[in-house]
Amino acid sequence: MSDPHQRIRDRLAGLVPNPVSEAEIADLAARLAGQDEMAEKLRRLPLAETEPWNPAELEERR
Amino acid sequence: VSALADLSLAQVSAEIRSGRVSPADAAEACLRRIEKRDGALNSYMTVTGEAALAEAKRLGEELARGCWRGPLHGVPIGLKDLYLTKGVRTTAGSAILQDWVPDVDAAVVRYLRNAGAVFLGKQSMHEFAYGATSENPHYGPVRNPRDPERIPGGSSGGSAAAVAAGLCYGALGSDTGGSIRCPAALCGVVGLKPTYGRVSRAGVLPLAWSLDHVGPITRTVEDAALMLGAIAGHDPADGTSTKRPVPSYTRDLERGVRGLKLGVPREFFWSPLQEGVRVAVRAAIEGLERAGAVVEEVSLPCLEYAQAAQSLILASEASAYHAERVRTHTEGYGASVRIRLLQGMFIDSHDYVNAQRARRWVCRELLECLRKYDALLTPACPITAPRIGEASVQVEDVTAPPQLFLVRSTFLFNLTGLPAVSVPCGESEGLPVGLQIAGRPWDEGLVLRIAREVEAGG
Repeated sequence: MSDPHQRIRDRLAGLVPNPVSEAEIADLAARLAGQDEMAEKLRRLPLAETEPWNPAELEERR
Repeated sequence: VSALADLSLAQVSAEIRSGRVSPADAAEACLRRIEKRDGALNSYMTVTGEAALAEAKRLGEELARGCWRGPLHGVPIGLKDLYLTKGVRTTAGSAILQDWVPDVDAAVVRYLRNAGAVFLGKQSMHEFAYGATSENPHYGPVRNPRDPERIPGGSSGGSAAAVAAGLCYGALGSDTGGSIRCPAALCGVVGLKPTYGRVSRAGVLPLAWSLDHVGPITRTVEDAALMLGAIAGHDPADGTSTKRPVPSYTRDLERGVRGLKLGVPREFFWSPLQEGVRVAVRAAIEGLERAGAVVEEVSLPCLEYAQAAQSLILASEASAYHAERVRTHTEGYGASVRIRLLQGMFIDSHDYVNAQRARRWVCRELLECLRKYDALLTPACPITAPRIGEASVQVEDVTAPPQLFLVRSTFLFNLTGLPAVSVPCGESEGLPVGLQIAGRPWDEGLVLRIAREVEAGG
């Protein structure tokens, strides 16, 4: 069975020089699960015609 | 008779202009209060007492020659420790920047200096502004003046605590998800996040560029209006800065709310919510109705998606800003900020863009709602100040770390860029509660006018 935390270790290896503790990996895994849920929620939105937010639009409104 | 340090910014300004109080008197009063109380509160990272007194003396001499720069002339204030200050260390509450002394001032620091403000020092904060408790792993927790066993909120916790305790007459905070309004609510003071683009962020250490705002924390609504008037305006060094002229923010403060149409969102803000907060906020809303406002419930279905968009954008941008330092100074970060920065590095680019697309949709729904309503009313924070070190808080049937509740009511107006203020509206079990008032883009004047009615007990 593959290690569910291996993806996290692999990704971190390229980002931080020191090994990350197993406790931190477990914490990160829980956080990433929540983060993935949020991303998935937004992926399901019908945003096909919607461009990213542009603060210039605030200028037009009053 | 109030102690000099307890006067409002507007009151001390009037005393200084009249010559009854000198800028040096006002600075000394604050410095004495800092000496007496800040050992317990930990609201200042760095106190620049000598420089403050020298500047106050100079401004007093200028006044004696008949030169009055405006309402901030000679008024002592504080700065959250992420504003670049020439010759004064700027840590952002981090160990990594503990000895960093910038060689330039942030734009707003220059504006305040030109307006005659006297800087008392740099105020404590959550590490790199990435959190809402102001429990700092490197410098210790900031304490809430209303109950020193409790947090002041954050990330501008030192600024709100200092203002509440009379350790300055006003302060500049910064707000990426609620970091001005949350501590203002928890400390019982006024916190204003202006419209995105209203106040320059040049020279302010970023947390998340597209969500960061600069604004004042003060003891009264009038004081917030005075400070905003001094810091608002176009700055070519900030690409998001508006060229709109700066109106008078004090002119209409006393006009009341008769005839205004105010919306109360039906979703999201009312659960989970502490019962004492609900009672105080509902009473404030009823007060506005009695004062002549028309209050109606409004529906904003987009709120279901707003939190996801905010979280992904904040985490992506914060991680991008810190990426190089995380690589080179990993051990220099406190554990909770470090894990949040690592978390953000796992967000895919298309999910970040999706979040920005959802943000536009949320923003449009709010702007559409604000065509019918002059402003929206919500609790500023669903809970009162938690105890320092409290790992979790139970509200209704939700048990979660305080961080998850603290900016729940505020982030929406970072996501949309709309102006929002937290104004004290009562207490729950002896702890302050804030009402949040959010308005149309560039309508800070109206938002403050409604807040003034709440403050006056309308």
